[in-house]
Amino acid sequence: MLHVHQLTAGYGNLIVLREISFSMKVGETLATIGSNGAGKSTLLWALSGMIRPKSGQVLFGEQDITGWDCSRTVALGIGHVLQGMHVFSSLTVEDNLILGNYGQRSNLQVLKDKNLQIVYKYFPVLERKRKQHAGSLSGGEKQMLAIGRTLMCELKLLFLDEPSAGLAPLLVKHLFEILKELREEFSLTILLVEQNAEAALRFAHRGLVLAQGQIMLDGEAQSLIKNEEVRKIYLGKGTTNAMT
Amino acid sequence: MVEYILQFLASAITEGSIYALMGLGLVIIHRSTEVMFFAQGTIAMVGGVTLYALFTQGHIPLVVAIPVCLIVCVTLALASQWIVVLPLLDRGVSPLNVSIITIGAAMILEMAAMMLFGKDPLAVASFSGDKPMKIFGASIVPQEFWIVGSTLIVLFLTLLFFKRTWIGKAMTGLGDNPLLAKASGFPVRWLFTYSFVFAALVGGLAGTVSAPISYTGCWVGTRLTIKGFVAAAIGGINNPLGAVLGGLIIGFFESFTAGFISSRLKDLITIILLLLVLRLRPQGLMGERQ
Amino acid sequence: MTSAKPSNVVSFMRRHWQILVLIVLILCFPIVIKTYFLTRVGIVLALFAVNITGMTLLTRYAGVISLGHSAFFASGAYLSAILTVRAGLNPWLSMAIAAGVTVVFAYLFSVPFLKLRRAYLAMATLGLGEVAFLLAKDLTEITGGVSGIPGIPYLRLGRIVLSEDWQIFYLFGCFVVFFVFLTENIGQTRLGRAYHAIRTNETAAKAMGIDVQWELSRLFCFSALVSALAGSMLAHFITFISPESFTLDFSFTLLIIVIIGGANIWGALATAIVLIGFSEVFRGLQDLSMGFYGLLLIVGLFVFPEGLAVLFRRGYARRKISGNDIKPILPNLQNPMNRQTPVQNLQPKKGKILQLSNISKNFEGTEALSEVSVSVGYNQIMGIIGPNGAGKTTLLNVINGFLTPLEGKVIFQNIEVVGKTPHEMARLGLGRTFQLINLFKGMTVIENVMVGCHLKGKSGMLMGGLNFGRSRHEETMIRNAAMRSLEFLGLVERAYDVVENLSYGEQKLVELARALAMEPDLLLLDEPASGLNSVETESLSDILRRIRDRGITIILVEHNMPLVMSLSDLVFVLDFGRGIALGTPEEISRDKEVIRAYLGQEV
Repeated sequence: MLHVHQLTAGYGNLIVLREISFSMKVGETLATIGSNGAGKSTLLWALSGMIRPKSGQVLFGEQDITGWDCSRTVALGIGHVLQGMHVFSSLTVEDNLILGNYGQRSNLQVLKDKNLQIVYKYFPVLERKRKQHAGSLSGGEKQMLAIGRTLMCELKLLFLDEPSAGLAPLLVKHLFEILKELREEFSLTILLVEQNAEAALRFAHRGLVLAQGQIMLDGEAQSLIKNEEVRKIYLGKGTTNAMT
Repeated sequence: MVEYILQFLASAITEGSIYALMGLGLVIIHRSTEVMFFAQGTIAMVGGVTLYALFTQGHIPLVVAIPVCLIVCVTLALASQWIVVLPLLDRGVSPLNVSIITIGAAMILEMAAMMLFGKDPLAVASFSGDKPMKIFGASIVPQEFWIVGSTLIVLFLTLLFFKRTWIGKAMTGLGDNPLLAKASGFPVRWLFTYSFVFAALVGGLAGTVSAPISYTGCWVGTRLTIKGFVAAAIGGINNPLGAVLGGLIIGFFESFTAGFISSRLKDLITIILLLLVLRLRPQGLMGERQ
Repeated sequence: MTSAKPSNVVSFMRRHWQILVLIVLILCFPIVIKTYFLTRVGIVLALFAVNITGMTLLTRYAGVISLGHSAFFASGAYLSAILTVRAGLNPWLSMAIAAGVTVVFAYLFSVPFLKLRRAYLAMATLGLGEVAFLLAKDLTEITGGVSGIPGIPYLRLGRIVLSEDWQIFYLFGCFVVFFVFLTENIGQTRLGRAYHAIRTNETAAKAMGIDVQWELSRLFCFSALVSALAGSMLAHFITFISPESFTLDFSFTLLIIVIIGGANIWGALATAIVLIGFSEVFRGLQDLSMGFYGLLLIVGLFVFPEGLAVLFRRGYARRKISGNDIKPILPNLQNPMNRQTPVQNLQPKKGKILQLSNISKNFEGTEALSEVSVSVGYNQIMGIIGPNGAGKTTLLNVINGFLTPLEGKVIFQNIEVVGKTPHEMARLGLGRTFQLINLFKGMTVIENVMVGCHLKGKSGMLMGGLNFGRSRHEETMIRNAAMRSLEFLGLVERAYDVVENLSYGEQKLVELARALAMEPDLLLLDEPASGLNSVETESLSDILRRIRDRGITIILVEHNMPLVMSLSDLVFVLDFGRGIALGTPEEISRDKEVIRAYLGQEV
């Protein structure tokens, strides 16, 4: 469903990603882990249209979407949840959600309502607070709102940037459970970026380990969890296996 | 004594309304683009002189003349946006520098107005006569009702627009969180355009409706821009309601200073207010600390 | 440096050839131009030119946008007029007093307003200009109101009354030459670089020891002084002043000239000649001049984004010039005198260079740091690691003085430093590099590093402006020190390249060179290896070791584990704002807490 070929991206003079290549199948969840500066967020930014890649190719199905702006990728059903629980604080929860669909061509009322119902089904707290200003929500609720917003645009491919950052472990667990249900129901393809490597790998089918802008490892999530190499990449030289 | 106070109050509200409209236009544009549109007052001036040309010189009925004025204003505002603001922002010029450059746009418009209409004050007839009405002892001319009335209608429509329409909400969102707006696929350039259109309509209205009372002419723009500017600064540079409040505050201070102290100090008091606000609370009364 | 007497004069002439051309032009102007009218134009130009010198430094170099310089212009004019007409003082004396009083006004304004953000400051200056205009118009008893003050006497030189246009022109010409010379020199030396640094990256400027508030305040007052003098000159030329001359139009014209004119005085002067000459000559279009200026501003900025200064080689807008065009004054490196001390060679000291105890810092309710305590010994390399958001950069900023901790003590070289500003910390021997590149754009590599040497110099504006003797010696010393720093990092070949043209890795090294040029005792490095490829990282590792060997203590925040682990003597781990481990790299890589913090837990 998603084919990334020799993608190079960065900001100004700085090259963060160097010729990354990987693919994703429909319904697959790929977890990208690695320490900071490795280029994880940059990957999502370059794919969704927040920045333009410097070179390389991105294919969504058959469509070449390299360098496409956000307004076009959203219209295709690609949703990007930014790092940091972003919401429009001065608008209500419901407005936040409906604006998630603003850029899309089909602003049909029917579709809007349908998607809104879906969001409320999976995130009941949002329905309860739908007339409240988004700024008054708690961190976890904001995160749910951020994810719910992407569901409004006929979501096919979801980019999640560090969804667990700043959230209590119990909330993170809850969130991942909801995500599991969502991806089952809608065959969502999910590209997940996370610092919390274990949680991410347990949620995903496959894992990608990035370091210094390149893919170090690419494999089954289960096997990566037990992999010594991963720990080494994170912590430099070391000996004992403390990941079990 | 009471009559005096009411009289000052009346002129405070009238003048304050115009300043409020100026401030409103400035705030709307700044919220989306971070640019201080220094040509806002000049657009109002354009509204005024166009009305003079159509209504006074051309004897075209108001019903037709005013909408045409607004169209002219919108056209010029859009021209400034596409020729000056957007290209410069795209090139990476900082919003502050772009704001300075809009002064240049204002100057050009002033020059054009001067070439077309000369430097003398232009008189525009009041919309519904000049017979003052006595209200609780204060003497109020009908045009003042036009001013305050249209301001109230504009404010009401603005509120409706931002609270009820999706474009309005999207513009609010854009001002709130530009990053998220981009990631959500908002058509950001179009939203910019809407802000300019809005500011032009508001400015043009202010210009046309106040022309009969305070003479119009090519120099009017700078004064109005400064007042609008101060209104936005007092109220909060990104807060529409704040701008309106700011405008009224200026109106009050000016009117009562002129009435009780001296009319010469009228403009001075506005500037002093500006300096005080900048020093003590730069984000404005209703703005958020940045 | 070889300096035989004759070549001194020759080199002086070569450096300042533009001034010489200017002097010649000024001398010839009234002789060639016989018409009275054009001489008047020349005088008006001279007045603007004087104003422009101050504004160029203020706006183009330091980035302060002032929409209210008409206030100082007016102040000089009115005070001069009042003192001569009403109090009968000697015009020269009154000029001096007017200038002095105006500087006081400028200072009073700068105290509350100069610290505001640029946009707000611009608004405040707008207010200032308007206040001045309104006062001039309304305080009729003092200022003559709308009618102004007539009958201002001419200046005299001994017995000669300077009433003829050509006399006035030559006098003003002298002022122009003097101020152009002064500001050119300031711009090209230590203070000019400091202003440029403040404009392009205030944070880094502070970290280099530049006291931003003080420098801006002084510069602001200087530009006010210059404008006031020009105002007095106006008064004694036209012999009559009225509020009309002191409106926003004047301030705006000045601003436009300086903006279009670009990064140096000569561009601004050329622009002034074009704009003002044009509008004065075509008097009939006088009223349209403002519109014309507006048009020129817009067109000019599209066609000539760098301003007219691109046409003049000096100044900081040098992007298109290749290195060959500039004759670098490279110190003779063969001469052992110039290589005397390699960068730093401190005697190894005992004890702790830095001690942090119980540092806590909040940001809007969230605890960024809580009860962090750690100490670093002299000559060590300490690495700070931790997951994203752990508070590492916050900790560096607390040490640096950019942030004040809620609680806790920071003791640096046995001095308590909580509450000190970043520039004070720099003075105490603290150097810093930043996570994102914080170089000063628009300057060359060596100029960037020379800013690091800011604290080595002491020249004020006058000494720097006159630029001879001790001040020149200072410049040479700073340049040498900067070169040595570049040498140490292998960047000498890139010294004259504009910093934006360097690769990311090279830019990071320049930032390091700049911090080294400060000759710090302690270096704080924030992710020095981020964005570097493996070759560059190797090289960095080597460099950091050499720096430590020179006697400098290093604290580095890093995510590149192999680098940190191989380099550090000590590793400190932060997680959620707390210190969770401190030890050798071996110990840390085995610590369970650390592993959990990085790799997460099963959720």
